[in-house]
Amino acid sequence: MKVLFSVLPSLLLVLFIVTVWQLTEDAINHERVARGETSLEFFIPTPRTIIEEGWNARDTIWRAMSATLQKSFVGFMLGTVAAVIIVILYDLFPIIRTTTFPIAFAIQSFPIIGLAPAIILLFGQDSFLSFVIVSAILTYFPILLSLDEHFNQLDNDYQQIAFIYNATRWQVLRFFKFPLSVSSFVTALKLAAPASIVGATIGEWIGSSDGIGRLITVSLYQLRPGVLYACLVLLALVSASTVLIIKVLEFVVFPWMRHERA
Amino acid sequence: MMSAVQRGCAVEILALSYTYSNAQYILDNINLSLSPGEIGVIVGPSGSGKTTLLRLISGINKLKTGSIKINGQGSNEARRQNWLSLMPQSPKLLPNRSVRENIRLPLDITQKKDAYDVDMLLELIGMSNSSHLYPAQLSGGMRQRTALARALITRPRLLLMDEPFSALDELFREQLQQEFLQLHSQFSPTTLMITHSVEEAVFVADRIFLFSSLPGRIINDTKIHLDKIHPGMIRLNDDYYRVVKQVREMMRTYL
Repeated sequence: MKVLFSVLPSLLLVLFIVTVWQLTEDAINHERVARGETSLEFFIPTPRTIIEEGWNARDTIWRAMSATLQKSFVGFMLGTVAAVIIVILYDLFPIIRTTTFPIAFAIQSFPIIGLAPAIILLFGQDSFLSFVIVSAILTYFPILLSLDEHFNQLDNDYQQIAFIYNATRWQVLRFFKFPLSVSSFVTALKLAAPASIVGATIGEWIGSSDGIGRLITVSLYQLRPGVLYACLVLLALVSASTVLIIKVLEFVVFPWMRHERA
Repeated sequence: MMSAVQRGCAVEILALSYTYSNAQYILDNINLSLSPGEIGVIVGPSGSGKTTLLRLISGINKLKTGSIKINGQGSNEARRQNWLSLMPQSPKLLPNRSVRENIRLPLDITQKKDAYDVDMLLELIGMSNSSHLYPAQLSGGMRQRTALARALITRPRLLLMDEPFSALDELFREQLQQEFLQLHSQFSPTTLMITHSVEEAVFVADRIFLFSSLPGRIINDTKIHLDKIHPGMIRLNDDYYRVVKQVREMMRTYL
């Protein structure tokens, strides 16, 4: 109930904008058609058209969405697990950090739109793995960065407590660094989850025969702006719900976070 | 099992000086000794190297000049034998551990078998009914009590306390000082405490070391002879205020 009230203002705003959009565009199109000009529908579909075309193409859209979600999910898991393993290695063996951190940084600083074709070339057009990797690349970095930063900035007092009891590197990680970085780890996951979908979508956009990225390009060339917009709306909704899912999972996996956040 | 009551360590610091770079000395020729079970309190302006001294004793900062002997051993040796423990300024509990698990933390790290019973400590700090709570659910005073119990669980022979009660409001602070004295009379670890508060120093200390501002030097070493058998009565005693006044006058003279 509380959640509902907290999103109510923005829901109302969206509803207002959509209504104004529909009414204004209807009015303009009415004029244009009367003057014998083309309807604006080909450039910006009205909300009604988006819903209609989207609904008519619902099977296609849904199939595309689930293909994309499969890639993103696997990419997200791969990116997360890789980031966590890398950060643990960084912490246990600082030499690995010194040598590979710049590389890890460089990989993510390539524009993904340029990197994706290279990965697709390498792992194959239309191969599941290609898209998973593009998605994982967009996932791992926020997680790597936030954990790495936390692990490197363990508070002096905690350090001294660990030191005084002769804690091993692994114990420092396990007893201090992991629990103390949960909050920012979850924040990083909330950034990474939508990014993983973006990654998969961009991959598909370039070289896939299925998925939402593919459907967006196809609807562009087939002049079906309604479907294109419907895909965008769905992508936004799905991305937002991944954040919501992570919020809920946080309290399931780390019950004590409930009190921390309260 | 070792004997039930373990005596505190004797601490002997001789001619200790310390500098982070070579530019400025943080500590200058510190000589300080504590008998087993004694409570030494360091009072001095902030930035006078008090915390650095504790870090040198625990061994996390490496000694450069002078010596530290804890029961005749260097600080690394003392630490390896789990003689030391620390209560930092803020409680620094771990958010994922309940009160009980936080108190147990040193045991989980050291695997030390010769330790106090968690339930007994919980009872002594009056938190038996809150042992399942997480730090975020506790009041400031309860967190500090938990940190105190955590510092005591390993039967430390030298307890280092860095402004342990400074984050609390007056009333809680006085209560915790009193509880600390009661706990200390049972376990009697040698204690070295840092504080800004003269009242706190006089209340808990057997000896007060007055530190100068940077570079930290001990400018006065005073033994406190107050009857502390009944901690609750100390503040009702005129002698207590007389000593507080004395120390304040000393600070006026030297600082």
